[in-house]
Amino acid sequence: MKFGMAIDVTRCIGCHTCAVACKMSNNLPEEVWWNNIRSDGGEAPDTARGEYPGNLEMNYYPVNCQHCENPACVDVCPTGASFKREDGIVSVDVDTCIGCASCIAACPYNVRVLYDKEPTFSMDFAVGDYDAPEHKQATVGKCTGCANRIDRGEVPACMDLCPARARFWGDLDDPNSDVSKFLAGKQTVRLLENAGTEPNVHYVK
Amino acid sequence: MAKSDATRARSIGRRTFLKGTAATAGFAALAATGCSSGKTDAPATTDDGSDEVKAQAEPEKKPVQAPPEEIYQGVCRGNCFGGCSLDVKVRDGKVVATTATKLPNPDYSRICQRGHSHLQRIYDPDRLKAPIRRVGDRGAGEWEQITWDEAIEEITTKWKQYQAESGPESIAFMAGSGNFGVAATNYAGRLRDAMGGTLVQFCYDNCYFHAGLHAEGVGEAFLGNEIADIVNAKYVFLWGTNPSVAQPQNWHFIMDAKEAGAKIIVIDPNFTLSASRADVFVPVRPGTDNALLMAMINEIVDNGWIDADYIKAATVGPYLVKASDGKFLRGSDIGIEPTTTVNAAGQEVPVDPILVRDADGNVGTVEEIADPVIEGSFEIEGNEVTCAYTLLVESCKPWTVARAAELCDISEDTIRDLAKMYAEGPSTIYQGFGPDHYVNGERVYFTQYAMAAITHNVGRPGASCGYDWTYAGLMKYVKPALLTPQGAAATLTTVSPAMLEQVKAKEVEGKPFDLRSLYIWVSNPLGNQTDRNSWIELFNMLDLVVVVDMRLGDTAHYADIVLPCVHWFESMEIMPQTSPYLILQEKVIDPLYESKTDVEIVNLLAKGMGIEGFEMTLEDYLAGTLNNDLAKADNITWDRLKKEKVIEILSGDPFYIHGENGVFRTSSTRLNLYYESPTPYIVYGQSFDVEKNRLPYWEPPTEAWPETVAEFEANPLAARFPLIFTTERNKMKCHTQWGHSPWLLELYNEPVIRIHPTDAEARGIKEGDYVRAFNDRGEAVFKANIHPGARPGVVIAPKGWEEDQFKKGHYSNLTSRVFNPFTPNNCFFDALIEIEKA
Repeated sequence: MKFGMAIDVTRCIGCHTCAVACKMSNNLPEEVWWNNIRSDGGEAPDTARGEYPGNLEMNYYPVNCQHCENPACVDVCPTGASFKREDGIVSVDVDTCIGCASCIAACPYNVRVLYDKEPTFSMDFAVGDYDAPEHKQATVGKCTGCANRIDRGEVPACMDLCPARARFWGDLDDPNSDVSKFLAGKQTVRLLENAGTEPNVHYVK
Repeated sequence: MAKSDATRARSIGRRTFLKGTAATAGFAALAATGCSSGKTDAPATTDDGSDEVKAQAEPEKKPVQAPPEEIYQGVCRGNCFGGCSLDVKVRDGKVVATTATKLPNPDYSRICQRGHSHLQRIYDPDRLKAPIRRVGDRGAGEWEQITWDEAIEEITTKWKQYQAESGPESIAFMAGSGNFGVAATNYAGRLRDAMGGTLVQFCYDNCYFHAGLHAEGVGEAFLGNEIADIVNAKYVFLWGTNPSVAQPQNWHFIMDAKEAGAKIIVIDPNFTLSASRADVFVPVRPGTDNALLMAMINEIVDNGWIDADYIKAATVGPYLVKASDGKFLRGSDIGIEPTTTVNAAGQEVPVDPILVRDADGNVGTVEEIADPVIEGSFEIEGNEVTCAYTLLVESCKPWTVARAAELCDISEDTIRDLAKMYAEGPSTIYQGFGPDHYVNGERVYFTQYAMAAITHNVGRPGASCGYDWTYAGLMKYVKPALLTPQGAAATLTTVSPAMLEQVKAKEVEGKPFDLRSLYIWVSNPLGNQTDRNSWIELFNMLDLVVVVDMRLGDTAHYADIVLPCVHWFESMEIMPQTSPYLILQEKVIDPLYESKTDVEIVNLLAKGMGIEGFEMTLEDYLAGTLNNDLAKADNITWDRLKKEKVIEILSGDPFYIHGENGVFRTSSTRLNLYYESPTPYIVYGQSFDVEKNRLPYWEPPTEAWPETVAEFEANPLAARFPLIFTTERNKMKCHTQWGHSPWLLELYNEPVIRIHPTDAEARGIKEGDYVRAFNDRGEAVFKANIHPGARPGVVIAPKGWEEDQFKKGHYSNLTSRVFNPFTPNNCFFDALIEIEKA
């Protein structure tokens, strides 16, 4: 069993539906995003790359925890709070995490957040899933693969419905999973492949 | 897993900034360090397992007990043309999540970033809690809270006074599409009609409506085929539209078509996100689309790529236009006395049949003449006539490929390629509202339909011209007009861009118009109409501006009295548009604070005015709109909708095809490629050029023509304001809705303007600089985004921001009220500006 995701970059329109679904379902604090939509043209959202008119590109890469095969974050965690589940999901145990941020330094993908202050929320009640992860000061937060949802048979929030039908997930070891079927025969890109982390999020261009 | 009780119990302060978040780093950092291409064909086997971190046992956690939660049926109604069916989850009496409903056809299951953010609109701390009345200067933001009784008493007392002093038309009603439900949109119109007030047409998208209704008539998908049919197209023309941003719910259908082998062609001055996914991007000069279309028709005709049989059978092409008056030759013109028939309403109506001619000179009706000609001029019993198709061809003749290439700033080969692809078909023109936003916009759609008609790119799978707004429900089953009080009607009709002048002149085309009060609901004109300062000037001339809204939006901010309405999930509704389904909105939670539904508000106003017939409840009204013969015949009832929540109403197997049988819901029952009796889209007594509007023509945009091209001289304003100002759909908003959702503001936090690098460099503007955009109408300050996709000489401002979100000004200060009287409209792009560092 190996949890993995695939994103069809040719279909992704950078609408942020997956990012907001994550924000809602996981009751994320203010300014915290576990799934970030990056424009490859520049830092400003929706920036194109190239020369008008004939040589232009505009692409998006939704980037969340890559649920790596060799997660650098797990290696460096001094308390074992960062761990990899048997299904491949990389997660953080908030009760063990001491907020030392070693994992943030080790992770090449910049997808972890240190709650260095008491997290604040734009809503004054908890939204999303009743069992959304706890966001505790002095711990590190990150994409949990929506383990809480998966464990009760639901799909990760970001995979619930992509308007562009650009997102796929499932067991990469199972050739019949949605993600394996989508990836079969396709050339893929993984972020920072030379970092040795063996990410399990595949991008198809 | 993790316990969230503590989180949920916590009382949380607002708007504290959290530093060091993942959101701050850009993608470039990742890409720069080597985003390498995987070589494997089977990613499932990319791990060799050598360094694999051993899976660890998950720490033991006490499972969280699932609390009681309820799911209600909801429907999103902001008129992005989504009409998304939503599951609304409630826990502890509060909406905690919105997700996409699983619909019978999963291709229509849909939600977006805004749909997931509804709870932030419901629990917006700035929701209006009670009616408020202005106490300071207009727009100063000084208010006092009043009771509903006080609000209704004040409004209705003043309205009665205005009626007595200035006539019933002195009170005007203006809607929009801010809550596109049956009751929210229509119910206040009952009061307007019962009071004999003035109807203010809000004038959005009218070029598209006008040309489409005339040329191909309304079908179940409004204009064109069901969107899912686009997969059958070989060529998809996204013409002046950016659905990947404006209608993300439709984008996957377009990508499905591409995967099935269709070529995607984007015609747009700017390199949009949709253009980035196209096979062909045609970067036309702004406002020249109809020159391109006429040149394409020339190329199609010259190469014999027309479908003559279809023109004969399904268009007015063979009809004979009289030189004397531009009308079709009819029996009475050659001495055949008109007969009469009884129409569906039981009335006796005259029949004066339209005539055609065959190659042998026989003249008769289309039933009598088996093979009519579509080309040529003839004299028939003293009438000089020409086939309508010939007139179409002749009207396009002067717009040669070479001339269009110069005007449109594209190559002749591009035009020839476009014509060839289009004619080969099946081709779908996915219309949008880019061309609509210029004064010359209506003819673009007119000519698109003409080109579709002569090439049979209508009425068959994959061949469609229009935009799927899925009107099925409203047209077929949902009939709010049946509930208009007997004999009630608006006294006057006017159009929003002309209103200021009419109020100043105290007349509408000769009819007295002493406007005293404006009632605005489901609409935010100060944020969405052109020339915002003219609206403030208008408001200042009125005695009482009443706005119904959920929060103090831009229009409410300048009102005299603001009445708080419910969020969409706080009342029942029917959404009959923009999807193949009739969708129920259940009442999910009670209205917050003192907010009321539009039906309740209008009933209170009617009672205050002493008008009877406004005793019905919201549910009575909704049920009533479905209480008609056609709905009953097809078993579409309120009780069934309440039970089933979602009812499929769109016909077609597998897809709805517009005009599949060759019969259209037009004046002629054919495709009108000639306008026999040009009629303005909204008639308020204005004059217009009849002859010009029978056939395609092109003239430059009124203002947005900054350079002299061929014989068309630059607008002199360009000396001071050389840039064309365009706006784009904002990913995080629907018009001005969702504008204050904290989640979405974290993603896109301030008004931005996109400028081409050469235009920026010429003005010393760098990425992230604040810039002042201005013209004689006003100004706005934006953050600059240097964007190579903006056409040089054109700037793009994603819209939907409100006044409080600008450092200074507002984007709508820059736009112009100028419009074409034949098609009154907001012409958002027909504007010139200059930009400088702020």
